[in-house]
Parts: sequence; structure tokens; C-alpha cells
Amino acid sequence: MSAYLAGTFSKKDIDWGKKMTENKEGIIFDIQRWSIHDGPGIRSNVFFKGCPLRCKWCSNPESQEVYQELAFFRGKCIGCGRCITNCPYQAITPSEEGNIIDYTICQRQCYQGKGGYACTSQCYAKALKVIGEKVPLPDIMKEVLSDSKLYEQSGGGITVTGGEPFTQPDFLLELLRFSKEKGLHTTVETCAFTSWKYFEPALDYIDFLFVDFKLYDEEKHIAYTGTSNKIIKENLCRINEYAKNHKLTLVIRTPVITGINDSEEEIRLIAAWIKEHLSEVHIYQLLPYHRLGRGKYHDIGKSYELEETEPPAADVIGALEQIIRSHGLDIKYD
Amino acid sequence: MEQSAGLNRLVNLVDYYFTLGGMQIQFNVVSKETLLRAQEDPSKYQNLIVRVAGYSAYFVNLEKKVQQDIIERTEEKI
Amino acid sequence: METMTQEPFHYQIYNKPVRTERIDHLYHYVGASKVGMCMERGRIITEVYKKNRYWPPILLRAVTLKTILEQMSIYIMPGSLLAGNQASKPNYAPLFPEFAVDFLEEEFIYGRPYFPDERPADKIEYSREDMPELKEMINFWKGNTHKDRLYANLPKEAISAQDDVGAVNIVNFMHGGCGHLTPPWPWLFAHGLKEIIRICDENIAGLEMWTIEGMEKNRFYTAAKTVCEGMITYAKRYAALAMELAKKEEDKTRKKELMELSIICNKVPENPAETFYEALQFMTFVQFGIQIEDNAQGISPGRFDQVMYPFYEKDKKAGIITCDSATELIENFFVLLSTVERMRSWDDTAYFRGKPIFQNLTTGGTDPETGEDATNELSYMIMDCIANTRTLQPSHYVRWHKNTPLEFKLKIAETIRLGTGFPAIANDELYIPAMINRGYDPKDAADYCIEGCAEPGVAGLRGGRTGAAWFCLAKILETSLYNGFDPRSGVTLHQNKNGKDLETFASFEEVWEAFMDQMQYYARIHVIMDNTTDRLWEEYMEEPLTSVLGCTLTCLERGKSIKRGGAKYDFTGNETIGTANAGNSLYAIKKLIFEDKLLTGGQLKHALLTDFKDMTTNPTGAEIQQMCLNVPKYGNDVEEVDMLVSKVLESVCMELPKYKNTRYGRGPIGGIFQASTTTVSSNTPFGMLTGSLPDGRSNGMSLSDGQSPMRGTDTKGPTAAVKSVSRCNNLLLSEGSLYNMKLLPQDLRD
Repeated sequence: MSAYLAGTFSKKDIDWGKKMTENKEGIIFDIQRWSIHDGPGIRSNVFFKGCPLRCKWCSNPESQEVYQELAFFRGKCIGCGRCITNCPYQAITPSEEGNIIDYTICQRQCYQGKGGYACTSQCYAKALKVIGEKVPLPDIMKEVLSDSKLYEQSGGGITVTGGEPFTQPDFLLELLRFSKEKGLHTTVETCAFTSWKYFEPALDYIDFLFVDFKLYDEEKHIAYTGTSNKIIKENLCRINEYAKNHKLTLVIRTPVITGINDSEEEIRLIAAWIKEHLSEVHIYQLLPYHRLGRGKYHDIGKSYELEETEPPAADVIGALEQIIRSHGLDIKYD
Repeated sequence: MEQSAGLNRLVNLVDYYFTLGGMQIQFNVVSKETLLRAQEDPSKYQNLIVRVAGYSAYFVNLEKKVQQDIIERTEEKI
Repeated sequence: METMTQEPFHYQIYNKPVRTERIDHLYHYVGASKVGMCMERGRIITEVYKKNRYWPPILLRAVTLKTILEQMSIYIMPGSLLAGNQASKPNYAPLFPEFAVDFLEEEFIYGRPYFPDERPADKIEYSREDMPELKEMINFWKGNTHKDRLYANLPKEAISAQDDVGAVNIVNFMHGGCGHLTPPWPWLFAHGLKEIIRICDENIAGLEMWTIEGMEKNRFYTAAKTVCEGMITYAKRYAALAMELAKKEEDKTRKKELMELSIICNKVPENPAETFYEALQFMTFVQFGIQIEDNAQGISPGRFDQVMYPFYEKDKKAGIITCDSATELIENFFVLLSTVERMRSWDDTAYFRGKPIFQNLTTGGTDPETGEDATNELSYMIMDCIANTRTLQPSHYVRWHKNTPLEFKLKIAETIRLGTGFPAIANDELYIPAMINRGYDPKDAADYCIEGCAEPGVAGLRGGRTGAAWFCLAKILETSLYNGFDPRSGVTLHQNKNGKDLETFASFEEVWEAFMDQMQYYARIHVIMDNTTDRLWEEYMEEPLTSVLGCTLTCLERGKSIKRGGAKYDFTGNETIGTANAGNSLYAIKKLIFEDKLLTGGQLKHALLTDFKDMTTNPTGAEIQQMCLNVPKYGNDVEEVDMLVSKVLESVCMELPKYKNTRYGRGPIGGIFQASTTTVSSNTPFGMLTGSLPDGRSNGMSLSDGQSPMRGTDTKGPTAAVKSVSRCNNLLLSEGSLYNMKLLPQDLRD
């Protein structure tokens, strides 16, 4: 069952996301300067909010919903209690272990564009924070361009990531078009689960594209990410066609999760598929699972299913990379 | 000499800072964990040198407050 | 990634130094000698002063140094290829009782606050058997030291500004001389000290000795000659010692080495140096000699790779040196310089934690004649020597510019990655114009080297006085918030001109006005303190050796010491600290009180005076602290706050040059004050004296260091941080800029 169907990501959300971008405003949750693992050189990452997938290992859970969400950073709370009185819906209650937030009330009252978030208004310690901000295009560009000298020196540029950039397709297109106008090298990180009509126009403004290929088997893909990988495969083939006569670097990546897709068989299947269908792809990269996203689930009131999962051992990754190389593919892009 | 992406980034950062009009920069390359361990078990870290300000010093010989100052400095991701 | 943070990787620990057996042995030999106190210099000077106390100061100082150089214990470390020492053992600090004895009495005799060997940090070993003699020595000097004269001479408000309020501080210059210079190595190597003696004799012969000017000059030349003779004797003593050791030595190779060393010590510094080895031994003697004269810091080898390269090239061609043998010699030199120690009072160590002697070595840069890159083979070798020796002295700088070869930049990065903090990097494209802006000849500026923390000088041309008084902007800001009142000491030295405080300021402009007013007041005090120190040095603490080896040509030409105007360039520097705290605090006031109106000035004032701890107010003290902490901070590429920090710094840079130093109009170019942002470790002790600030920093916590953002408040990554720091008008910081950045070893691993 897809996230779409599961109701966590409704059509309404996409419509709302599209509406936002009509005014050339995007919903982003961070801009990270000096990023070094998301494309060539030193880059600035723009994180879009919203994603159609619900990967169980997701390290940016705050990026999944397209709408704003409330995060509570317990470590910062000084226990002044102002949020408790400020919330008109009684969503926050004090306890011995610190404040407890009933996120279902937040969902109902403040999420999905309704706004409010009165609890944050007097949180001087910034322990309560609204994740995701509507930011006008010029503001994003200003921040991104502030390091343009560094991009020149290092061969870097802008990377649009998320979330899934294509949940805000119109805004993405604007951002990419604008970046190219300013002479920036552009990279996009995507799961490619989107309509081709959004993808096609964007390609003209992308220099470097990372597409995640998470699991080969469709059933398994649905089970672990909430969506089928059929559209992803189709889009990949179309991108490959495009890349044949355009200057586009296409890199495939797989997040390697212990016990889910860390088998040699899995990687062999994906590598073989790439060799068979994607003539323009020369690099297939593995991203070993890490646990840095764990704490964030708690902060936004979600639960994390992979609590017990360990990062894959170095020799496991080494063996998988050997398989990739044996298919004539590189594992690194620079 | 060893060539590495990390060293290149360090050079890039200094070049960038200087093109912007920066005048001087000096680095500590040490993690908080190492410093905390040195505080706990100074005998094992007798020769650990850190940058204080315009000079370097043996970390374990520094007074606690200065050690704390260095521990608390922001670790920039490079 | 996570596994790496659980198991921190540290280059310095995992990459073992590569040393020859000799260097490794020397390193451990020095390391085995703990920091201690050496009585010898104190003993000798006391005897000389007892006999000759009423001599003209420069002659007295000259004969003192000569006697010390003739009588002090000398040693040659086992295996060492170079000779020279400052005290009777490595890491032993000589005594300079002529500067101050109060702390010697308090600490060594009474153990207040600690006996030096029981200090919590910077311990000093000493023999209790020496205490009766020390006590006698103290009694001889008490009341007649440089520090006593300073206290007698300084206006009360200046003393209060240091000892009560803690906004300015010159304790460092109460306990020793000025230092902070680089000798004109090429000239010295080419001529030897005998040439200086000849010039002195020649000048003396032509003096009109019946005039006051003639008498003064006669004193200078005679003193200069005396100390040079002392230096030659000092060297010849090593020559004799080496020969004696050679005779006893059974190992044939070592025997030969000692004999060669003996020949060299007989030759230099009296005669010109002709080989790399001789030049290095020459430099070693001069380094030690100047430091024995008056406890000065920052006596610098300067542009070592430039100065030594002609010798290296020549010797290499002649086949008498190889890259390896030169590397070993340089490493030997480093280890020898690391034996230097300075006796500091417990109070002073807070400002100078560790072992900051600042014998600075500058590598790389441009050729002042051609303007082209000057990196050479030695530049690379020095980086290797840093990695191999890992001694705290000398300290290292590299000059970085547009045409520095990428290969050398990478070599520097690799050296930095070790995490010793060496080398620091100076930007030629800022330092040179900043110096020219103050009147340096462009060619001289292009030949700059770092002397001290980050202060630029030129070998043989600048007369010290870099990094003079500490100037604590955070404290000064604090007093301006209470109409000049200092809450900790209860002292008011100067009321705001507008008579207002945080409760009554009607606009941000009034806050700024008050801050400027206090800043100008304390700048005046700062100048009074520095110039008084200078005047007393000049009158009582003449430094003939420092003058004649530091600014050789101009001093000899003018017949006077540096402190009387003997240098080509002379500026008095400053060390501005707490800049980020002051700027962030001003911005927080602007934002919270006047723009967002979240607080009244009265509320903030109360919160600051109660250290954010009063929970009965609304908002509570803790909430107000959070408001303060969450106002944007310098270091995150937020233009508004960065510009305010820049304005704060610029105001200091503009204020100080309004004042002249004691050499103005007496010969040197410059003669004014100028600003820097060096801190050494003073941000900790100054922090202890500074109360809670509007930037959210609690009472007593360390202040920000140098020009760096307040630690922990720069959260937007390195590019945002460097952007903020570079927003300051660095061109005005002609005394140097200092920015500390901390990186993680694992990030440099790929």
C-alpha cells in the first residue's frame, strides 16, 4: 500500500504544495552550506519538505510531510511552562520527565497549512520549533549564492534534496532555472517517484542527478517504502534516454540497510538491471545505513521501527562494492 | 605527500576565507571526545598539543577553564 | 560515521613522529626536565647591581648582561649539534628580579596563593634550599623594581582600571622587557658581531663627547660594544666546552661532531657565517642572548626559509649538506628553542597558559624584490620538521597568497591536520596592505614576518612593542550599561557622558554613544599604561643587546636604543579581546529592547545583575537568558550582527591611532598605536572578571577569543563563519587578526 493510499500523504497535500509554489515560495526545512557528500565539490543543500515514500530507515523523518510540523527538542527545554498555557488546544501536559505533547491534537489543529503553533510563540529557549518554512525564491537564492566563490574554487554548486524535490515540482523548476541563470552547477537528489511530466522539464536545468534505487523487488519495495518501484524504473529509463544526447551525469544510489537490502543478491540484481537498461550510468554508489536520524523521530512525535538495526559492517559494504565493480561500474563519482 | 579530498577542502576553505578578506586563521584539529578523554586520563595524553590562541600548548597542562574553553569551541564540519 | 565518533581518530596520536635517533633522544631529554626555576641569573644580576647600582642605566644593563653571559652555567645536550642555553637546565626559567619580586615573595616564600610547585597548572619546580638566598635577593630588590616604579608612576585610575575593574591589563610587561622583534639575520650573518664592535668604535672616535648628545651616544655605543663582547665570550665558552667534551668522548663520530661544533662556536657570532650550519648556530646564540637580556617574548627567527635558503643551496651544491642532514639540524634547532622558559606569576599564567614564548618562525610568502612566490625547498622541509619534532617552540606561521603553489598549500593542510595548531596562516593580501596603510614602505611590508601571536614586523626594522596592553571590550561594554559602574568591584571610573544606563537609554544610539564613550576612556587609560611602561623601560631598563641585534642598522646610525627611537618602524600594538561578546551584546540590546520590544532595559538590567537567576520576575531570569541566547549571533553570516561587530572593532582601530607612543618624532616611522585581535588565553581571566552580558553569557564564563565567534554560537558551518569574520574591516587591523577554528580529524580523513 502506498503512502498515498495509506493516507499519510494525501492528494490535498500535493495540491497545497503546488499552490504554495505559485507564489514562488517553497516549503523547505533547511539550507545547509558546506555540503560535501551531495555532488561534486563543496555545495549548498536546499532541503525540500514532503516525500511520497515512507522508507522505514529514513534519516530525515521531518522531511516526509509537505506541511509544517512541530518538533520538540527536549534538551533545550528550560521547563518554563509557557507553551502549556499558550496552546489553546491543551495539547501539552507537564510531567516529571518533561512536557508531553499529544501530536494528534497538533495534527488536527495546526498541521496541514492551518498554522497557529501558539506553543512556539513564547518558547524563548527555542525548544519548540516549527519544521518547514515557506521561503521565497529570492531568499533561498541569496543564501545559496553567498558561497558562489567557493563553488567556483571547488567545482561545487547547489544541491536540491529533501524530502523529495519533486513534491514541489513547479517551485523546483523555478529554483533550478534560476540557479542555471546564475551559472551554478545543479544537482538534484530524488527517488524518481513522480510524474514524468514534472521530471521532463526539470532535466534541462540539472547537471548532476542522484536517483535512489532502494530495492529491486516490487513487493519488497512496497513493503519497506510504501510505494511501488515501477514508476521509478520507468522514469530511470526515460532519464537514460534523455542523457544520451544531453550533458547530464546520472548516478544511482542505494542506501544499504542491514537485514533489508544488504544481500549480495540484491545488489547484483540492481547492478545488472542498471547495466541492462541504463547505458548512460557509470556510477552506482552505496550509502551505508547510519542511525543519525533516530533522535529526530522522537522529536516530532513519530516512532522508529528500526530501533535495533545496526549499521552494516565495513566488510559487508566492501563485498557489495566488489559486485558493483564486477559489473563494470564505478562506486565513486570523484 | 598524501593527496586527499579532506586536505583539498581545507585548502579551499582557507582560499575562500582569504578571497573574502580574511586576514589570519589557525586550526585545532581534534574531537571533543579526544579532549574529554585527555581530561579524564591525562597520563595517556601527556604529549597532546592543541592551539590555544596565538600559540600551542600541551592540553593536559592547561588549567581546567582553558581546557573547557577549547572543548566548547564549535566543531566545524569540513 | 557514528562508529568514528565513538572511536575518535586523532592524527597526532596515531601518526607517530618520524625522528632520527638523535632528535628523538634530544626530544625526550628536554621532555624529562620539568619546568623549574634557575637562581643563577638572579644571583649574578644582584651582585652586579650591588656593585654598580648607580651607573647610567644602559651601561649598567650592558655590564649586567655581559657578566651573566660570562658566568652562567652552560651545557651542551647529549648528541646535540647546536649549542646554547638560557638557564642551568632545559625548561628552567631564569629570574629577572629587576622587573618584579613581589610575586616571587608571595609565591615562593609564602605560598600565596600556591607554592609554584603546587600550582594547579603551569607548575614550577625549585629547590627549597635556595629559599634563604632568594629571600635575601627579594629584599635587595623590593621597592626598586620595574613594577614598583610602574605602580609609583601610574595614575591611580589606571591602576584601578587594571586591578579593580579589569578592563585593561599590562601585567605581562611588568615582569619583563618588550621583545617581539626579529633580528636582521642576513646582515648579521654577513658581518658578524665584530663588525658591530668596529662600527661602535668608529662612532665613538668621532663623538663630540663634551655635548649631552655625545655623552648619550657614547653610552649607547659603549653598551652595544660591551654586550657584543659578552655574546662572543658566551659563544667561546661553548667552543671550549665542546672541545673538552670532545676530548672525553669515546664515540668517534660524536667526537668529530663536538670538534666541529667547537670550531663553529669559536667563529660565530663574532665572524660572519659561511655555511648553513654556522648560520643556524649564529641564530641560536642570538635567540638565547636576547632572551637572557630581559625576559622578552616573541624573539623571532622570522622568515627562516628565506634567510637560510642561500646557505642551504650553496652547501648542497658544495656537497657538504643534504636534505636529510639539514632537516636534522633544523629539528635540533627547534628542540633547542623549546628549552626556553619564562617565569610568570600565577596571575600572569592565566593570561599565558601553557608555554607561549612566541619564538615565531614564518615560512613561505613572496619575494619583496620581485613580488613572486618565494616558497623553496626549505619551506617544505620546515613543515616536515614541525611534524617530526612536535615541540611547542618555536611557533609557526605560513604566509599564504594567490600564487602560493597548490602543492605547498596541501603540505600546509597536511601539517595542520596533525592538530598541533601549527602552522597558523597569515594572508599576504591583507597583512601587506594593512602595513602599507600605516606607513611601511611596500618593499619592507612585503618582507613581513609574524612576531608574537599574530603581529607583523619586519626583520631588523620594527622595534618591538607589538601586542601591548590587553583591552577587554566585553568589560568596557559592561560598564557602559551601568553608567560607568563596574558591578563586580563597585568602582566607577568614568560616567557615561549621557549619564544614562540600561534602564534609561531611550534609543540604541544612546547605548552606542555610551559604549563609545567608555571605549574611548579606557583607550586613553590603555595608552597611559603602555607609554608609562615604555618611559620606565627607557629610563631604567635599557636593552642594549636587543637594540643592537634587533634594529641593528638604525640603532647604530642614530646611536640610540630602540626605546629611545632607534628603530625604522615603531608602533605600539594592542590586544583587543571579547569583540564577539561586545558586538553580540549590543545587537541583543538593539533587537530585544528597541526593535522587538520583548524586554525593557530595566528588565534586562535586573536580569544581568542577578546573573539570569531571578525566577520571580516575568519573564524569569532563565527565560531572559534564553531570549538573549537566541538573538542571532556573529559567526552565522547574518549581516546585521556581523556589521555591528565590525563597527565595534573598527571603532577601536580608529581610536587607537589617535595616540602617539613615546618614540613619536624621535626617528621611527609610525610612532602611533594600532589595534589587533590577539588574545593569548586572556579570554579566560578577563571572563572571570566580567559579569553577565546581554548576549546571554553568564557571569564569569570565558569570553570569546580573538576575532572568533563566541564558541558554540557559530552553527551555520565553516563558510558562514568565515564570511562573518571576514566582514570585519581587517585592513585596519595592522597589528594582526586572530581567528581560531576547530575541525574534526575524521572530516579530513577521506
